[in-house]
Amino acid sequence: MSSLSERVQKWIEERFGTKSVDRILRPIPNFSFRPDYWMGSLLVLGFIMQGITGFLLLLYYVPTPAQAWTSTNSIVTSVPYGSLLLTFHLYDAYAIILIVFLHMFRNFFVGAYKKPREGMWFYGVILGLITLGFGFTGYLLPWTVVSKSATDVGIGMLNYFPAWLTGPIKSILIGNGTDAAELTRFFAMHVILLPLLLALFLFLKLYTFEVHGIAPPVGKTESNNEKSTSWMPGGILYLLMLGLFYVGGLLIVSSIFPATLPPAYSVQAAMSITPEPDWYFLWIYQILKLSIFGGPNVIYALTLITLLFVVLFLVPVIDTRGGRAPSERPVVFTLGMIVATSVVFMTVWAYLTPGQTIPFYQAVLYIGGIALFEGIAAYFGLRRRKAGNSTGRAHPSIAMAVLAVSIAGASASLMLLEKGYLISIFLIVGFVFSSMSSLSKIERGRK
Amino acid sequence: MTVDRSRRNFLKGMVALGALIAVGGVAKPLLDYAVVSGTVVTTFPKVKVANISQLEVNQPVIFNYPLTNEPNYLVMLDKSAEYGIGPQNNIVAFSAICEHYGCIYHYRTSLAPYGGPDAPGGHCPCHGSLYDYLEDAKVVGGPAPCPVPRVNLELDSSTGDIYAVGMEPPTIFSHGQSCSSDVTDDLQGGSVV
Repeated sequence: MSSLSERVQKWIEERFGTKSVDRILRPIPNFSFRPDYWMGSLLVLGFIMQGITGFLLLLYYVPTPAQAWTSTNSIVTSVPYGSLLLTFHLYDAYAIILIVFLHMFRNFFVGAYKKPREGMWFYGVILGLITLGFGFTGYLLPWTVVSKSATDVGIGMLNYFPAWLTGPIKSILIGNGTDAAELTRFFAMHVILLPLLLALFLFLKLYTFEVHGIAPPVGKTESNNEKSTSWMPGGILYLLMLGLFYVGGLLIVSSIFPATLPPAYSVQAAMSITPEPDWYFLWIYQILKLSIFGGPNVIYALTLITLLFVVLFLVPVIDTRGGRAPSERPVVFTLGMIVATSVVFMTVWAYLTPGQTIPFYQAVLYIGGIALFEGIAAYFGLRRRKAGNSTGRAHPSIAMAVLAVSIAGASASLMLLEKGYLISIFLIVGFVFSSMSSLSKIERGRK
Repeated sequence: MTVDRSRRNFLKGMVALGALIAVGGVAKPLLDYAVVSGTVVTTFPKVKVANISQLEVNQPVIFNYPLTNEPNYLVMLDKSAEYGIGPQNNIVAFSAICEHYGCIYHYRTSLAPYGGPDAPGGHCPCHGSLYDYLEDAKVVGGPAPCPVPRVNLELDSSTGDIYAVGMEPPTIFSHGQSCSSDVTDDLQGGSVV
């Protein structure tokens, strides 16, 4: 006769299916117990935390032009733990957007979008746009002078497209154009529409994920006999560990660096500030500031940005040949590196030059320089691989390497801009070196 | 037993058609609900914005016109300006919304520090557009595609009251096609003052 605790355990396992989890959810391949394979699950966790903190903020927030700022301010100043909650909601959003970019570039560089995972990529890009939508709509809600002005500038850009196209879009976004209608609609989208869309596409993405399983490391073939660990309890525990680390880290940062609320919006206040988008839109802002896109030419900049997202979406359809290793898709891989670096670089550049129009030749010089360096680095990195048939363990986290490379490259260019020549030379040398070594490490990962 | 393919396909088609009608039937009302139809106001209101005795040279007065959330600068310049009103022809009013991206630009007594002429006018902090108030807000620097629109003013010489009575082309930023000339678009997309 079994003991009571065993019977209770059996009862639970039968009723709640915890015993048969492996028949429902794929066991997790052991190679994937590394944080870079878990960025997607961190994002899910991040969004769950946004739901929880968002709900708590809704207990006090009032979405009207007269009260949006004052109610937000009272959350910060007088509600117990309100400041921490609001800061956490903000920093979690920042973390989500950062991880979205890392997640995307990581999966690009390891070629995880290749057959049969094209669908995952499509869903991913849509989810990325939903994330940016959350950022865009959420930025307006506290009704601060910077956020309201910058949002209006963002909406104003629609004006440069033909009216038959943007009229209905604008009307849906901001209603009849009054401040109240704008805030009401952004609020409704932020708390109802976008969460619904997120849930839908997240479900579709996770379903597709379960169909294909996680992409094996570069150079490893798909296999059904991979050594794996069940979700119960190994996967759950690993996720719990990562999740607690993530939430704990954010909580610590939020309590040490509480966010401050900028002044409330008013026309008078708007006259003394320079509207700026939040940091994740700065690279777009910088493109718009290029001198060649002045005046009515801005339509070309907006078309260019739209095209960038279209190309991003179509990556799996464009790059269909060959395998996942960089040497099997050198052009696509190098272009991806250039885009990744340029995005970081443009972000930093926009941060340093608020409101300044950028002469086009400067952008050509710096982006061209980045492209040249990375082209050379990629050429040598990929050529070295062809000479030997080295085998080795799978590469370390490419995302980290590429991020380091991007930041080094961007900083180098900016140092040149600020005329710190000596430092820039060191950075450029380090930048080329790190590009080459990370590329060759990736290559060694191939069998 | 054989399957009647054509009958099966017909039935499938009917199901698909039904689904399409159901979804389509919802889409139209949904869009109608969410898209706001424009107001039919076509004439500009006459609104008192200031009294001439309140104006001081180079001290702009801000007023909303023609919609409740669209600020304009009313300013008495230190010399006469094109289309200026008042005894010295030096009172003008322009939309405070930059024609480039819709930022609220700043009024400056001289545009020289920003790379423009030594004339009073607007300087936009977003991308540096410059508008010369002496010359009907002509663009004298930066990326703006056209001048900011002038507010038509009327001075009641007996009381000294200044009224806003309409807008001159181009349209205010975000109204109609960018920089178009149909000023009735200025009355759409908000509540008229």
